[in-house]
Amino acid sequence: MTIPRRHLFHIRPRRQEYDAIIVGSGMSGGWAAKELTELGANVLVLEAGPMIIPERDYAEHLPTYQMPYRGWNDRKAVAAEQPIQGQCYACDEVGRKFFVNDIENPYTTEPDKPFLWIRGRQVGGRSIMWARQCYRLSDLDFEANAREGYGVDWPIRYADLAPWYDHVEAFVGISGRAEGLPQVPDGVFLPPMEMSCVEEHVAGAIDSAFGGTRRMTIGRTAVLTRDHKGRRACHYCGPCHRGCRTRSYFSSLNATLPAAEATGRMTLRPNSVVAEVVWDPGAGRASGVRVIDAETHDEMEFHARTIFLGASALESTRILLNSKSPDFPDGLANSSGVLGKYLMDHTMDVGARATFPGWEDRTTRGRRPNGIYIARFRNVTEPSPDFLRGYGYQGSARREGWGRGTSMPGFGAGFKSDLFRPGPWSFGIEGFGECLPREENHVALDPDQVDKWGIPTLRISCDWGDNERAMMRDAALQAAEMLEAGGGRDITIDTEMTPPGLTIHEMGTARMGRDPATSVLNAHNQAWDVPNLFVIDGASMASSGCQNPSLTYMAFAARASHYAVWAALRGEV
Amino acid sequence: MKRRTAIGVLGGVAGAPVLMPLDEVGRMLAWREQVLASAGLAGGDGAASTNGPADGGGVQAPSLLTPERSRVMEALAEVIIPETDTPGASEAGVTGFVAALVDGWLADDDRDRFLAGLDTVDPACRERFGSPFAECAPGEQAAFVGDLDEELTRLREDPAADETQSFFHNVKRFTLTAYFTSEAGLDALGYRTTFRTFEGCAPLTPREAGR
Repeated sequence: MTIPRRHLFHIRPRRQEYDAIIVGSGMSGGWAAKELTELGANVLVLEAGPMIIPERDYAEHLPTYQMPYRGWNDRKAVAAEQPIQGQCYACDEVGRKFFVNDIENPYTTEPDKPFLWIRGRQVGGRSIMWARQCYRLSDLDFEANAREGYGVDWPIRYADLAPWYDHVEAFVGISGRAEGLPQVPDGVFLPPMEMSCVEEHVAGAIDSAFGGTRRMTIGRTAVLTRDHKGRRACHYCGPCHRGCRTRSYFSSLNATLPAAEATGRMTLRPNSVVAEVVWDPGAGRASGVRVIDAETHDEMEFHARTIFLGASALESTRILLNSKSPDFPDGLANSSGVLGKYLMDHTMDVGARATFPGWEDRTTRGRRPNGIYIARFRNVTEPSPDFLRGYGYQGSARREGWGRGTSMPGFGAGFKSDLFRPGPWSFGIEGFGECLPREENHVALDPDQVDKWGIPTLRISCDWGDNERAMMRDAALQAAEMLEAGGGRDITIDTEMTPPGLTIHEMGTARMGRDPATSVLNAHNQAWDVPNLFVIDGASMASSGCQNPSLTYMAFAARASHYAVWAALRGEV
Repeated sequence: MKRRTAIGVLGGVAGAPVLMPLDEVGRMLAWREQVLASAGLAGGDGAASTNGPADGGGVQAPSLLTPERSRVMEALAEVIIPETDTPGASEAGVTGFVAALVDGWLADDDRDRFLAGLDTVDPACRERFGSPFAECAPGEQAAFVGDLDEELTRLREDPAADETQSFFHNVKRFTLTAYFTSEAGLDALGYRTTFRTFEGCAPLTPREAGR
């Protein structure tokens, strides 16, 4: 991207008022920047971390032999600086620079309730390292809370969001296959990637074994299968999380921020840690934000007519909790008292793996940055007596590589030539399960701890509930049954859930709703209490669905941006 | 990684993910391993360590993989991955990677166990064959490594044992990783960085088919 340097550095606060300040330059902040500037607004984008310059910072093609630890990561540095971030697969020897330093960015949990908060502070945020899977929510999700009495009813339905899914998908570029499944509605798709031989086979076997109630499709992913809006088609090198110089996968850095920059109406200020949103009691609105320069620790204020928080669910929540005033002693926009509560993530890592005899003369060619998806069937096409809602599976089948040699007997020329040949086909699938919104899963400001910039940190209290545990027991069993139906051998089942947080789908702590007494945001991601404040990231979610959520955040961010502009024109904001 | 191996990691052995070489599709497995590995790290070794990365900057202390140990490691590696119609482990330069692991990656107790194991090789070979390992005849080297490999297999099949504690387990996995991530090893595999498209069901190349 070509952001002129004049926009990047040494911007001092001026009395100038922007039309909008956007806090966060990642998935949702990038969308707000694009939409607002294209509608004519002058925006200031504040990013807590440094600028990322793809030509300098992306390293997806760095060969393993140029890494000191050959991809095994700088284990001692990770243990010392990133003991939490290092648990994410993408925080690897090359990619770990895109994850925060845990010592500079502490938070606390209860001893028996680990929560792994995975964070990226840089221009582009976590959209640089995301796993790129894109699935729409449906009315099965938007109606679930009202139907079952959990949480609060979503103030919108699928019809409200569908045009915004269309809008963002057309720009993002998502490869996938239309399936006509109501629980994961079809979208605007680029050509799908191929399934592997074994995936095709098992997809067919599942279809017949379960009477058509379960559908495996190729993953829907924000990776280009053909050139799209000035970005190049994927070249299947593999490690997307280390960046992509051809901009073949979507990130704010690869796509929305350059679009905003092209309007000439975006000012981007990296190294700008937002401590709070400033409340103007006389005007009854937010007047700006208080910022601490990440490098100099200088404090300053920026002013705007509207404020958009897209700093990630928990960071946006933390900023609001820290924005205390006589009018809002428990945090800005928190007259309801629900700010920080109803934290959710998706369950993950429970599933099964099997090997598949056959197809010995075939293999996959290229490193597909995508897997397969098995759409949710529980409480859709097949009921479950044990739990509410459901889960989808993700996974992939490919031939094993040389790594299998570590646990194989043998050595010498024959052993070596064995390892030069692909190993057996191995197929693993894992369930991503919906998490119910529960009040006790919450975050609050820690009275005893601040981060490197003197800002109070979060205390996070979160655990899986009985519904999630029952759901994942079923997910492991059904995974094994499906692999067995496809002819899998040596099936192993994984039943251990990873702690919440690690799925990196944390959400829900400033939820939307229909009632200002029980929710923070209205149907337009607008704070009930503060008409010129919008929260456009995962904090706004009233329920989690089981779908990877970034696509939904993008749709919400675009929709809220358009709403804000029209509301401003009407004089309502 | 088998569950039992994972438990071994929790016990403090080599707390880091098994390499999923540049392969995003294996991410789920890697993810599980990282969680377990990190739990191992949180348990003690590492976090308090002052050892920096082997970044090549500044004055470096001499490697704990001394020339003598390096000679043994290189010779063992060459027996595991010998030169054939493609380069062997020695030509691929495995000892640089092993030195980096010994000096900056392995937890202290794992490092000590590995080096102690390496130090038993030459004395054992002198006693058995009259020469240090690197100078033994090919048949003698194969017999020696064969015994180590058999012992490793026995440990792997014993539910009460943890084969990851065995020094030869590390010799083997360091060798394979060093070789297959080296420039020579990747060339020998026919490794390509980029592809025009992804094929889900492609015929094997003659090289992959072993022809």
